[in-house]
Amino acid sequence: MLAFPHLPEAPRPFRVAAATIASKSRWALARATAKSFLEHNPGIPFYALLADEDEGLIDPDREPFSIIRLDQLGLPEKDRFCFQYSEMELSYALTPYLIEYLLNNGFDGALFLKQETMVLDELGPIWEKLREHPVVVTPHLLEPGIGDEALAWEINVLRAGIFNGGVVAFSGHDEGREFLSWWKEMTSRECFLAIEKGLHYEQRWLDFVPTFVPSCHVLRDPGINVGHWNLFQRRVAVSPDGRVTACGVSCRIFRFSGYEPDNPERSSKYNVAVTMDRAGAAAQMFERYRSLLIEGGYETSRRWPYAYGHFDNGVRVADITRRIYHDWPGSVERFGNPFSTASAESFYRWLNAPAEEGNLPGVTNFWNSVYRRRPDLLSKFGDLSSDNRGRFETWIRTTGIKEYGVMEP
Amino acid sequence: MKGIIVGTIVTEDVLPLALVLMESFRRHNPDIPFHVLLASDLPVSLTGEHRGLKLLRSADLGFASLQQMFPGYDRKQTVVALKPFLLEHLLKASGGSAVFLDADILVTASLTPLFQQVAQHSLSVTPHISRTKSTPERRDLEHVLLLVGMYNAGFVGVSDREETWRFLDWWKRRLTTHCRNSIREGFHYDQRWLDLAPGLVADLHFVRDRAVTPLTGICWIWSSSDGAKNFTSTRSPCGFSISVGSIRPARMRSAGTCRVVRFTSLERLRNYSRNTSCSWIRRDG
Repeated sequence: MLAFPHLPEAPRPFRVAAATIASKSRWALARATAKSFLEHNPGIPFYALLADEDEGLIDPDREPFSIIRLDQLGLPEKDRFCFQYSEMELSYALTPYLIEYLLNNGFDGALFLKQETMVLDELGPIWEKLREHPVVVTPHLLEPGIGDEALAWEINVLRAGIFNGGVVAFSGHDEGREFLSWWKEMTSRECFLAIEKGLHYEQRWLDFVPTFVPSCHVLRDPGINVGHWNLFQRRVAVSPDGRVTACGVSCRIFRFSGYEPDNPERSSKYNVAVTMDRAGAAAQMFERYRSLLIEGGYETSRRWPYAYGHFDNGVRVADITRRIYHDWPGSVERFGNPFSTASAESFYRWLNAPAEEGNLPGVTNFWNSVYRRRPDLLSKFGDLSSDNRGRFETWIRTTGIKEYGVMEP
Repeated sequence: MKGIIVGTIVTEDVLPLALVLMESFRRHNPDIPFHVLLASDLPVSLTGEHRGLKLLRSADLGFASLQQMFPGYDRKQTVVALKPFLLEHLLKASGGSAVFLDADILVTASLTPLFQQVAQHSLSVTPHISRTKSTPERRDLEHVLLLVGMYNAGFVGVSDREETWRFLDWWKRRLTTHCRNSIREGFHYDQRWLDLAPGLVADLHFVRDRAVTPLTGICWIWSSSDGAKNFTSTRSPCGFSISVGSIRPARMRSAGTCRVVRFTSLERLRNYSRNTSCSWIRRDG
């Protein structure tokens, strides 16, 4: 009997997607990133993860991209996750969760573009490498630097991370998956800025990519990840037909970390040196980006409230409160949902209760926690069980409340 | 494979470290030149024990005075800051490749496989660890590595390529002014600067062969992952302890043939010497 000849299967297309993350107040940034991406990469789906709750302010049908909600990610202890981080920290911490979500939902490759990004060309070089490698990362700096400016930026990069967390891509290979699992674990608890501990949000963890992912690809393309931190090395030019190059190659991704449309003369709040009059042709990119933000409703969305910015009684959650909660061992078991204030056992009630440690009438757990975390206060007031407590209480009323923007004790 | 030269750097007070390294290196790699750069401006008189030692002085690298070259540096900073200068010197001399080995290393097998990799790439470095793992000890180690650097600067290999020279020139400049141990500010001697290499060097090679890189952190990993009875460990990658008396490289199952063992203190080297034929330390120690 003749067997049917074996017919080779047609190669399965390599399905890719791109995505970003933003809270409501930064939603115009997500729109700018998405619009510029879709203009140059039509046919590739774009997703935006809302690191917030929409509270009826975002209409998914009017966005040119798909919206992913936090509940779709399967976050471990979502309330804890969202409470422990500030608005920006939460957006950053979700990066590996979003990438994994896309890989789990039918895509072979996922490109993450951080908010504050403008895409200026098709991203073929990234997709090409993503087919062959589990992870594609992009370094902040590509040339050994000369001069004081280069030295300053290299030191900055040593502290912030060798690879830019604003452009990173994963495919579904095991090595990449394994790294994502590890990265998720790291950002679920340690997505902070703490240079003295070697932490810089989600980004410094990417330094481990070459270590943990032998097949990774370090994409050293001067046209990708052009930003205020490397403009001194990457000469940007704009041709009469509007095409943008960096170091003579197509400028595909321009990043605007720290750019403030209200302060358009400055490239970034993190960089006072590069002003528009010193940015050369790159100044046009900032102007284009500013227009994109305005078109994307920046003036409106910037005023949208952050759903995780307050307790359920409306009291603002200060950053220091988030850190106190984060550092509390077993906070979930003891307090339950940290946003909730109704229960006598809630975190909110605990913050406002008399300090548990020591005999400190007049000092709440919140202020006692602040005191214990700050060497300057420890040094200034010494032992709070003594007469110093009165001085500390005065400091709370005259300085502490303003400094932390919190409720009265 | 073109020519290769290997070298290390020491101050005179720990010259025995370099001698042990040299002796062990030559035993297993007899045809490869080994140089020792003495990081000192002081005159040194060598004895018969130093036979065969190719001792380089700072003048050989073009320095009139190390103190003037590295004002304000202590001994360790000076030793470390000299690393790219030595590599450049050895690379010029070899015309092919050069390898730096920290002085607190004992070579226990031929390093030919390692040198073959070095010859094929502009820059070769070895990551402290090699894969993700979920243990509390590993988490501690990862946090330490964020502060001290991803790659172990106890081994650095270079070969004669244009970008290698550019990298070495850059590394020299950085270590001349910023060879600092201030991990809270993002510095850790020469080692954290190496973290920038994936961006600065296109042809960067990661030496991942566990048999040739049992440096400090790697030994620590072995001890916890494989339960090798010959090792004990602490939770610090720089503070692990080895019961050196019982080291038998062939028994390091995960390593296959162990080629490099790194020590972290002279005391451990002394302990080792009591159980080996290595005579230098017994006399000098």
